[in-house]
Amino acid sequence: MEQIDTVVEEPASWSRRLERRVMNPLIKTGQGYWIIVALLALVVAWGVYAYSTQLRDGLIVTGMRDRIQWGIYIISFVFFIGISHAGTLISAILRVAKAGWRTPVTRIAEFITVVALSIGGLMPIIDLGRPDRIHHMFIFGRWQSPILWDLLSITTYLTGSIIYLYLPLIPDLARCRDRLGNEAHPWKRAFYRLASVGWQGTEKQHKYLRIAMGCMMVLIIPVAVSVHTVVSWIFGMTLREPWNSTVFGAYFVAGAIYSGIATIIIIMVILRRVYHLEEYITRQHFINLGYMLGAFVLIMLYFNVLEYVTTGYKLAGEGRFHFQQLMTGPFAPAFWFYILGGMVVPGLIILNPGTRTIPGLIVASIFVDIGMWLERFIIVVTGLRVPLMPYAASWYTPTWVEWSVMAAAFAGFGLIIAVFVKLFPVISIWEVEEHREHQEAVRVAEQSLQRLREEAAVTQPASRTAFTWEGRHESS
Amino acid sequence: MLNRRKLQATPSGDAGGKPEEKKGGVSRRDFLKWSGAGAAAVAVVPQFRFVSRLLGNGRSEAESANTNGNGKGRLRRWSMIIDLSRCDGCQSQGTPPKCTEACIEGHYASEPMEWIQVYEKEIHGGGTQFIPTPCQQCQNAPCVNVCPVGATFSTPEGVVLIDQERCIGCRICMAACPYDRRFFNWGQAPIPPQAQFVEYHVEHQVPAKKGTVMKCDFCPDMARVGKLPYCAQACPNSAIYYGDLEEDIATNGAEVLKISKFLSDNQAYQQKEDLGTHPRVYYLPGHGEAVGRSPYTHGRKPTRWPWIEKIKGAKTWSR
Amino acid sequence: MNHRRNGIHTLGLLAILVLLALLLFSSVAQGAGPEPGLTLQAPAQGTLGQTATVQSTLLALGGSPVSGATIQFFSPASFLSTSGEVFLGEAVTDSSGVAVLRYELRSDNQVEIIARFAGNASYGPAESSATIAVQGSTQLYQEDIGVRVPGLNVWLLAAILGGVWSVYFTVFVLVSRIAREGVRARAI
Repeated sequence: MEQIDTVVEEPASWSRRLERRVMNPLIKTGQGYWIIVALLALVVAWGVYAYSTQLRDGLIVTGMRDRIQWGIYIISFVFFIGISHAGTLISAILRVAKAGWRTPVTRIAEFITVVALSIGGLMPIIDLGRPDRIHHMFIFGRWQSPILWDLLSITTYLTGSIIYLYLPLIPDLARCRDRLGNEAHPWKRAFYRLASVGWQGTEKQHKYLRIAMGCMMVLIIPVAVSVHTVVSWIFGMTLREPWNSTVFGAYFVAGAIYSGIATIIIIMVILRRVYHLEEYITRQHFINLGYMLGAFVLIMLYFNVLEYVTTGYKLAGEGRFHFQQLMTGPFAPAFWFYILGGMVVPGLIILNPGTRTIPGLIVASIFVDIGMWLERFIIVVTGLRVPLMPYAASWYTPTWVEWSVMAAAFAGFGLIIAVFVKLFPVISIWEVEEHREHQEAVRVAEQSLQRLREEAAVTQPASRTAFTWEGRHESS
Repeated sequence: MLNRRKLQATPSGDAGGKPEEKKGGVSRRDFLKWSGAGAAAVAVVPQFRFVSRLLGNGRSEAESANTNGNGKGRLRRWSMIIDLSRCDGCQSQGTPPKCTEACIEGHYASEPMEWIQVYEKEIHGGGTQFIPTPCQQCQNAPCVNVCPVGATFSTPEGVVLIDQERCIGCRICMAACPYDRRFFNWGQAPIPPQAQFVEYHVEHQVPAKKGTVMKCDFCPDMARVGKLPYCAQACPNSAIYYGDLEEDIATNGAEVLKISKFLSDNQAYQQKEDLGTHPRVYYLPGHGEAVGRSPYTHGRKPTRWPWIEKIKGAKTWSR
Repeated sequence: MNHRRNGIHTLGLLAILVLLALLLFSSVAQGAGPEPGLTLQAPAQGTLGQTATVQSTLLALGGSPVSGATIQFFSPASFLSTSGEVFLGEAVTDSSGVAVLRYELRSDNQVEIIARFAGNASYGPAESSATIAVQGSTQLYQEDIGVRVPGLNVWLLAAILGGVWSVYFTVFVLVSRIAREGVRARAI
């Protein structure tokens, strides 16, 4: 009895350690951080310059032309909006399902959602021929247009994601306000004071927060699904042969979550390494995320079978041209990398216990993200390439401007995350604590149960059978 | 600004028997100017603000407003019929297709824009046919359906137009068009000196605006002053008929005929009818046999942009 | 009755034979048949969109009907500065020499219709015209595009969006309650 208590760390000291670990980066910044930020800012600046040439000369500086009139910008749009779905899934679905292991992961996931959405939402504006007329969307907006559905659903989702990120932040921000004291910069303290809206952790406040989070975690799931469905309808609502697919909405949603999980794994590995969060984000967390990734490998493979077996079997209309350009034609390398590298290889890595490790998962995740970027490239470019009239199929070669803007988008993604980790705790301290308290309570209950059983065994050996259902705890 | 957006919707009431030569002498640009002054104009481009747009489909509102607005007469329903048996891709002329060239010269369409493009399509038996393809003026127009700002819209006369002063350049209309009939101003297209001071009008998209979409405007403004569209005027074989489905009448400049009978008697069809776009452009099957072309004479002269060749340092792009 | 009819028949047959002989003779002599009489009956008034029945009767010189003759109908019109005769259709005369054209009135003014017989081996060409004054200003050509589903409109979209945003608003209210509660807790 005494023995056990000394092994378990005092909850208060455990919490203090967690606090220190998570909050330290908010007040101390190393040189490496500034180097990374400077590099990212440089890439963003280069992208801004590239975009300025586009503003000056028009979209002629891109590789897009009349026949393939969408390119890297729209591909990046779909890609980033896709990544944004991870936050919702990991956070909201696991929260709804009351999966306890989620707690150290949710904050990063939610934040990726907000950042990816902001970056992704910017891409169609960069793609516009007349960005100076963006206000026409509000003045003359037609609700029948898929572009307007996108505008509405993405703004709704972004707002929802920010709220959903903010709600669990409140108790942590209050803790930053209370604990960081003079260590933090005065404006940071003012920010924490303001943003924590006077959180004192009273029972009523907890109740309100629980209700608010309950509403948001249920609501954000259909909103997220609607967003990527609507994104797919930008393509699905046209009369192009390869896009004329009813499965597109679900296919896009699944692909979005798939690439989102991979991105979360990558970002988590980086933050875990940089912030030394090994105690809180354990191997088991990665393995759990790996299992989710594995499930989505199967879902994605299934969608690809649905899509290509039905169209490839019939080869209706221009289907033959499309099927050929994917399977054996000019897009075959990209397509097969997407299928094999983007799904089969990650699937095998996750399936094999020997490679189901953190390095293995990093490799799998990078493969998934490259594969999913290629998938969007294939969807956009091959879809537009199918000739509509008797003309020779055209080609699309992105220019340095497009590559630069895309690089800037990724750098911007990193840059905002870098700013974020200096402002907010990357782990939801109070939720991790709550989860640990819960685990402790379970452990204590189990221990007392075991003691009871032992006592019972001593006094009445015959009645031992009554406790055999607890046997697995004995053995563990 | 508001006046400029207004379109002339001439009632066909007194035009059936009498020629419209009264306006025939007025040049196209002059006509545009006085229509720009707002005389007898009826707003077609929906001017509704977002909130009022929420009340319903902007298109039908515009239509009802238009028809009720001038109860005097009937609206034209512009249409085109192209007799492929009389189109030889201008092989006999030894020139690029005259229709395309006239359209380019008339609208100062910049390279590579061919608002009416003559495609050569293989037919059964190893021959080819030439298909002059303007904007098909779909009545269930996919481009109009997807436009987020109503910059591309259907007029009550059945013409699909683009307002380049509203277009935001998102290009979803180009993705939606199943006929490849939309062209984007990737850069600033060259503007010839004579187009420099032309007042822009949705029915006559001059001068070109960077970052916006353009296409065949079906020339209803020319028809209203008694002229055939440039392409129909220029066709040496009179293969292109322009007409009004309301009055059921069409002409190619040589003869006048009844559209319904002409279509029924000649197995008329539309391009990609299975898509349900309901084009206003009809085709009569053929491969130039009526003007002596053998289907096995392949190829045509490549399209030129003569006016651009006269402009030094003009920056164009390819399709 | 029968007897009498037979008499008339033989008489008519005789007359036709004589006429034919005469025609044959004259055509040989002049190189063309005699011009038969072609009359055109059309309603004087018509409504736009209405199908008018235009009836032409082809009678030989003697007033006997000519059957099996093809009558073509035209309407002179001008469109986009091009004038010409619009071919409306053709009909073959029946035993009483009548050819009928059913014609939908699409022009809302005076419509002139010309019936024309091109002539054949026996008869020379003939022509006749009539004018219909067409009233009305109804729009005739309508295309039925799209399907209207009651309730499937912008309000549905607005309702969905409104629902989502009202939840956001509720959350906002809850956060403000947290803030108010914080002030209260601190006061204690």
